[in-house]
Amino acid sequence: MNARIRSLLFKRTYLLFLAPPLLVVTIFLIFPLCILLQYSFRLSVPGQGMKMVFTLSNYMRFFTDAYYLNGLWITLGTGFVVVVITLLFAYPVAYFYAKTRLKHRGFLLVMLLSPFYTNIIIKIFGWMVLLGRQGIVNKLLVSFQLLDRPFEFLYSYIGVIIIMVYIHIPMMTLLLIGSIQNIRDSLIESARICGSRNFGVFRDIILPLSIPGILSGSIIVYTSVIAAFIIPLMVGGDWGKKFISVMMYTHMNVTQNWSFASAIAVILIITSLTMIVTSSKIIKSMKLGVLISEKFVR
Amino acid sequence: MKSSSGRSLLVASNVIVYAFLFLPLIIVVGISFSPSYQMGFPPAGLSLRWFKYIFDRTEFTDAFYVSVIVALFAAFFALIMGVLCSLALVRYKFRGKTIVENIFMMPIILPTVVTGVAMLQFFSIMGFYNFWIRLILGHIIITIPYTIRSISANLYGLSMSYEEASLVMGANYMQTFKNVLMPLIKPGIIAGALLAFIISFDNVTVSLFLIGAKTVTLPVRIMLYLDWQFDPSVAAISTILISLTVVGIIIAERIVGLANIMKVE
Repeated sequence: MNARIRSLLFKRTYLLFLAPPLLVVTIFLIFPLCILLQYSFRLSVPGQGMKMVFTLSNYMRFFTDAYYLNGLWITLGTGFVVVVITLLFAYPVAYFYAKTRLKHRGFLLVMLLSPFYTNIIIKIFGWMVLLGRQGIVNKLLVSFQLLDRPFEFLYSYIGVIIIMVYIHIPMMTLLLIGSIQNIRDSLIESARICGSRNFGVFRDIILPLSIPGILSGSIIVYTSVIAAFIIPLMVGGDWGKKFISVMMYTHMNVTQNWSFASAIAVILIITSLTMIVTSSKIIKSMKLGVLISEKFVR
Repeated sequence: MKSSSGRSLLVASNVIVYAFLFLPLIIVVGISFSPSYQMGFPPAGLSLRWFKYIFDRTEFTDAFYVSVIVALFAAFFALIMGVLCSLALVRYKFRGKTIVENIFMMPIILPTVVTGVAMLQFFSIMGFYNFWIRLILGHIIITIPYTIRSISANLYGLSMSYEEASLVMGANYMQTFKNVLMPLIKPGIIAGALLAFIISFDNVTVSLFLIGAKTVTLPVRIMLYLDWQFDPSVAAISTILISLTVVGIIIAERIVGLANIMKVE
């Protein structure tokens, strides 16, 4: 290889390629995040703007006020509930896609991706129609006499959970498919030959081997749920106001307390980063090395 | 699962979940043909009045144009950034590569709502009030990771000997890029562009913070409309969007093979 080529391919030409995208991301994302962090240590005075002092009062306020702490626990707890339910729904779907020899797998994928890529507002709207007071779910429940009068699913906690689970099923399924596909069929066959029955195969082979996928899928869904914003805002009612992302939005747009909103944003970032870092450490320590960034679909 | 009971349990659970996934979409499509204000399902009759209604009201068509324009610009610029970035990250070894990679993946890892707030604060401090550019910049930032990912995946699978051969033959880098590299990474570029367009078009969270009065995107417009009214017009728009989504996915499946983009195969 002559010198010219080597210089073209291996020297510092990468800086030329890297400069424009890095510049854009630095100016419009990293710099704003620095401002956000900086603001979280300032004091917003209503009507007077930002006081340029260094204070921890925003964080103190969050961690001493029962209202905000309660909101934090509700958000984190909801994440857990949604992940568990979503996993129960998504696992069989992922397993079926990954391990069944089907003629029309492309069709199944389209079936999975259509709700995934449908706009979130449309999906929420669909559930508003279904779960409303006059909605089909209430009509069915009343006509089967499971309820004596319509239940207000919307603007209740149950409604938020249903919609969040619904939104995250396709995502979780797509994340699980890869790890289930990686389980070699020969392992399953050996277990069968050694006399293991179906449930045994599932419990001893398939489930343990899909744990990395389950973990990384769960953590991605979890971080998505705790940062969820549109669902609690639109159909959460009073419950929705307790989600930290909605609290942040309120302080940003309604009370205009930017420094407090920034502090909540920082807390949100730290929470999800901690989740991601710990889980990827756990996954790596299992020597199964599935990087979250690699597994993430959307 | 070989036993028939285990297998039928699996099939049954799949049928239930797929039904659950499609239930709200079917309902929405159903009521979009409602002849009245009734949101009941099945609708009392069939009519296209709500489709006529949304095309008569400029607020929805305008919002649709805004969304398309923003998504086109965002996808275009994110694509350029994605190509540049992938070339650097895949074809070169340098110090701090992992850090750079993580920086570009940040918009995925960060809660979207935080990205929105941070950018809103930034633009306000800078006194930057061109809402079109604000919105497009926001969307470029959130779509860059997706273009990088699909183009990088493509580049990784590509032997470097193609570029080397072209350079040995005396082509300069631009010629090599145009005549050799571009055709070879076309699938990645198409997939990335498609993904970026969809992500931008669907985005609500970041848009909500960055829109101005004249740059309300379609999803945000629908959301604001639902604050005040609840009628089948939203179902009519949704039906159009759902059909576009499904058609888009089927086309993508035919052209590039979705399993590749989604990395599930």
